[in-house]
Amino acid sequence: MKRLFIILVFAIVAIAMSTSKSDAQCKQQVVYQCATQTEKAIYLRDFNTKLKRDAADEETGMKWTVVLNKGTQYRFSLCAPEGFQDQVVLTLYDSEHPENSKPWGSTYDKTTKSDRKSFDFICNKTAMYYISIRFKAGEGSKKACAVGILSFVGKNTK
Amino acid sequence: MHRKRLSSLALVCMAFLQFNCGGCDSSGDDNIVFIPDDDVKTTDVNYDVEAMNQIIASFSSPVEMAALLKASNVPFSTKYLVDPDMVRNYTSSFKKALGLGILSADLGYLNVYSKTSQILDYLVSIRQLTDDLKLGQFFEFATLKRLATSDDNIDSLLIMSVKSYQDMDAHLRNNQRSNLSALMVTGVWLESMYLVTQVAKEQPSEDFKNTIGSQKQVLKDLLPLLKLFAKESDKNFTELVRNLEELKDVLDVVKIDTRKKENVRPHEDGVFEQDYEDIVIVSDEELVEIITTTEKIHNKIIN
Repeated sequence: MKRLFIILVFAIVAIAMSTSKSDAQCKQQVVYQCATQTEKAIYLRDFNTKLKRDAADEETGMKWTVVLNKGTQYRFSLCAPEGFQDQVVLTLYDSEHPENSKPWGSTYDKTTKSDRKSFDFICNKTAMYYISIRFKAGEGSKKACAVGILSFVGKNTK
Repeated sequence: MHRKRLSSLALVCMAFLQFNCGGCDSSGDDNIVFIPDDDVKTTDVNYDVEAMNQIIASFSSPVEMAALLKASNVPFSTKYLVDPDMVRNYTSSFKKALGLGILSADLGYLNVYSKTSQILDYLVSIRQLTDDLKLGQFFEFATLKRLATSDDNIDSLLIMSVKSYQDMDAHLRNNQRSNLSALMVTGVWLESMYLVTQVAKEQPSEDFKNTIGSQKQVLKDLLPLLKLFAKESDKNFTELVRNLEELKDVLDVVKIDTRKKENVRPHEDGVFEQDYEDIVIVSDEELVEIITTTEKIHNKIIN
């Protein structure tokens, strides 16, 4: 009984410490790595989330609101730890261009079933938009983390 | 003995939960104790706090307007910036939170223009404000100072400065201090508006008219938030709302029509362009009025 108790205590501590460590890596390393990969674009903000789902068909993830300004070209980049990159998708949308039917942009092209690390958005209307980061439908591990980076590419002169 | 073991197990379980919850919050500040502000009332009115926090978080980054000015080839000038020593006179949390937003936008401007030699004074003043607002743990002064003294690290400095701002803002919102978060956001917005209007005063152009006139939409979203706090009969918030309503009245004259956009860039190479656009119409007289009102409110707030 005593041995069982000690094993249980060690197991809980080990799990706790390993989970904590992987969370911390996801927060710091992925954000900084992702933010510095935006080439010449200027980092504006990030959208950091942990994804968790219990069933493959469960919709999971997080959404944020963001004000984007007319006349600006923005870049949205998505980063996830190795092994998770093709399971996660970042989408930009608003009420007239819903997330699941015709979003403004996405890191996943449903037609060609291909992923892109980032996409640019030329904003012609100053307004509030939504960003979501989710597991792809029917894909994804039970747990992952992902970071979206919003950066400033330049003025849209056209 | 059995009870002792159970207590130990309970302690270990609590430690486990503590470790795992460290990753639940994006701000990573679970161990920080909430300290009420003496002069700004805490929020106890009835509204959807989560929705309100989402809206506060949506406003511009402290570097965005500076990035736009640089992309427009506007030369750097310190005359647009607030004197960083001015914050020494700020005694209330209300002024300090507004000042933190204003200086964060100025720091963003210096970062974007890579003016590292002037950054240190701003870092010192921001540290004072963050310490006073019990946000010092998110502002790594020593690291930022080290990055500022090396020209090679300007990208890291910009990223870290913006990240610090985001973490402070998130911490305030997650700890029932959304009123201060709203003030920070307002400070950033007002300083950004001041920067672009001062530039437009000297170099009026259709592009700047567009940028300035479009802020009508942003103020339309920002004001209701501030009004929530003003409702709590906080005289500072009431005064701030009164000032910004004056600016709103001037911006309301701007006409914005949404039209179908011609020559939209085809959706290729991962570039997406909106197929409609806002046409912003601002006359020269209206522009002057917006510039003058922004300047008046800005100067009233920083002093």
